[in-house]
Amino acid sequence: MPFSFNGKVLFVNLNNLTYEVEEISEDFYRTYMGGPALAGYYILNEIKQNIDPFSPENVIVFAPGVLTGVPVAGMCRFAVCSKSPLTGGWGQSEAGGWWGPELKRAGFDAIVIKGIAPHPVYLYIEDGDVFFFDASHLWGKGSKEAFDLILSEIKQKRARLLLIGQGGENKVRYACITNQLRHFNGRNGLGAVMGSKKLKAIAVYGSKPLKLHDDKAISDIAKECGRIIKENPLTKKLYEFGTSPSVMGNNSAGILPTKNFIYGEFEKAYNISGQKMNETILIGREGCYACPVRCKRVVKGKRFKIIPEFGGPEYETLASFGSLCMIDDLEVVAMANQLCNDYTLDTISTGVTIAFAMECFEHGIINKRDTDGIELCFGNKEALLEIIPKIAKREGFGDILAEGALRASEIIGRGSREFVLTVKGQEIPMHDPRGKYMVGLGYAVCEHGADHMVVPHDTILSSVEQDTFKSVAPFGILEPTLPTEFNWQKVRTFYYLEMWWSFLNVAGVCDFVPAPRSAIPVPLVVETLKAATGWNTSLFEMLKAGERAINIARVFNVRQGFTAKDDTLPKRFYQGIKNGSLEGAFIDKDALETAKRLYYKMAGWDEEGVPTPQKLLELKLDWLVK
Amino acid sequence: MVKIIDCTGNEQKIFEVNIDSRAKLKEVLERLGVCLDYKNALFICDRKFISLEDFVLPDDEVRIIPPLSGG
Repeated sequence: MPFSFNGKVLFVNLNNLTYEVEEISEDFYRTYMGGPALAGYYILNEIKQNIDPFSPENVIVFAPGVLTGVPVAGMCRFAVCSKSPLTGGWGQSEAGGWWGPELKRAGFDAIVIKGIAPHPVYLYIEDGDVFFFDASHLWGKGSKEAFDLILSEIKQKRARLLLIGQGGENKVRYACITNQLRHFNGRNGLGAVMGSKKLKAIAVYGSKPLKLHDDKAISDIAKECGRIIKENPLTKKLYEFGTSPSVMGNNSAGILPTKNFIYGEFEKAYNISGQKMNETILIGREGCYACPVRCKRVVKGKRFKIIPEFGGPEYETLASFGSLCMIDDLEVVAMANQLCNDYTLDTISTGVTIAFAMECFEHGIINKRDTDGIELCFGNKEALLEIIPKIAKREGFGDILAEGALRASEIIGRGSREFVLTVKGQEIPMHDPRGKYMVGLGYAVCEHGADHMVVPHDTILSSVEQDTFKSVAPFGILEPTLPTEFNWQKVRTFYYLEMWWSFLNVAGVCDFVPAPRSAIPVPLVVETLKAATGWNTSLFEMLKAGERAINIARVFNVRQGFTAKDDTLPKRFYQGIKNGSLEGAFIDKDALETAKRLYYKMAGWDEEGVPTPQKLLELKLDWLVK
Repeated sequence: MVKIIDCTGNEQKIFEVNIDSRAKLKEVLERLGVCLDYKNALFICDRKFISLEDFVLPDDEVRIIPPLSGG
């Protein structure tokens, strides 16, 4: 009998609204362990080279991990994977919340969906049964209205809902997916893939608890994690402020993305900070399944009707709509966040794409005739709130911005490429790599484009005195490096910790709970996996599962035509930051290239960043060897 | 005089420490009696990250930065 997973994968064909259930063996599940690795197995076996991401041939997979649903802090996440309409390559995005654990309680380890429905539909899964519902009446509605209607229709108030708003329906290339209205598979435009398939939502409900190998051991681990989280300063800060302290922290370090990454310090940063949020719009804190950290914000506005159910802005949103667009009004940022959550648009890509347009506007490359009369200049709050609905509905100039910054620049032309901040077509998150070189390497090589969550950041691994640095000793990482050093030690640290964070994605664990980003020691995560599954496992096997997911994604990209040339950074990062504590700091392009080549070799890849047959065999990915 | 700007709290704190010649940052902070408080922090001097073992000079300005990661 399997523990901590069900041994069942649901296959849905939307072309004819049918489904099948496939039973999977324990060895198979142990090899892939869930999340992007399991999704990758099905996607690489189903998708042909160079298909259109919006075609019926594209496959979208919803996959919790082996630890998702284990009642221990942080074990709540699931991945959504597909061919990304934003990058044209591997698409992957994780979310926390409650949906992943509920899917496992409902009896499935993953859902694999292909085809396009003849009309809008939503799925309802209850204790292993699958139902298709017509969603024609929900098409065109935002996530909140659709959420309320679906809950009333299925008559199961305890069901958890994952869904899209108009951004997904209209195939905005960076549309996200929401669950419970405030948790997001934000990146890579996977909400647009749902929209292309006319799939509005997936509701799940399960009444059966997940079977675990050793309930007593899990209960003891949960208590120990709770004790650590209560005492640890990192988790205490996450509770008090969420991710928002990064606004003032990055500002003081001179790496708060400001005015489309021209600057690193925003004079009015305090106005969009966590401290300001706590003093003004914050009304509560929320968390995910079984997690006492409670890092989510709940906010309410005075000037705008801000609905608490949507949750409050996190750091990425505070910076992407705040400093990046030169807007210092917290309520405006919270309202922009709410619009994106209702339309289901990724706030990072939306903010970066708007900042791109604002810089074009400042340089006269576009003007009010192009923007439907909107004065789309930096700092214009009204313009920010006006352009977001136009993007979601693909109206006027919004239709161009709905393509993402890179494609928008190709449409606009006139030298606008200079202002595009993307990697592989995905917009850069709110961490300036000129002050964090490991993050820069991560942006460059990540298979799904610029992502700040592929590796812990340099700043917590920079001295032997740091508790966070001490916590990576189980990986054999004993030499710290300063954030702006590129040396072999840094590349080695990147290689090891990228595997760890990839494992966390595979297993369904939030980065905000285990070391080094947070409090729970690495050996305790290993013990959790042992107790949940009954497997005689180790950190080695876990890292290999993480590495397997990276290599599957890499092979997918190679098949789509990606090469080493795509593993790079936008030009702006090779130029100096124009103000702040690190004024003048830049990334040396040759040093990045050297680090990248070294990483390829450490990873067992060739000069083009292609996994060698030997590496694939070592990872038990023989089916990927041609 | 080395100027220390502590940016780790809700409000900036500024300290000044007299040194005659170059001194390790660790020693400068020890003179303030606060070195352990900053064991998890980062330090920026002259537009570069430095470590506790690096030397600072009279007239240098050192910023102490909280060690924030992503998310």
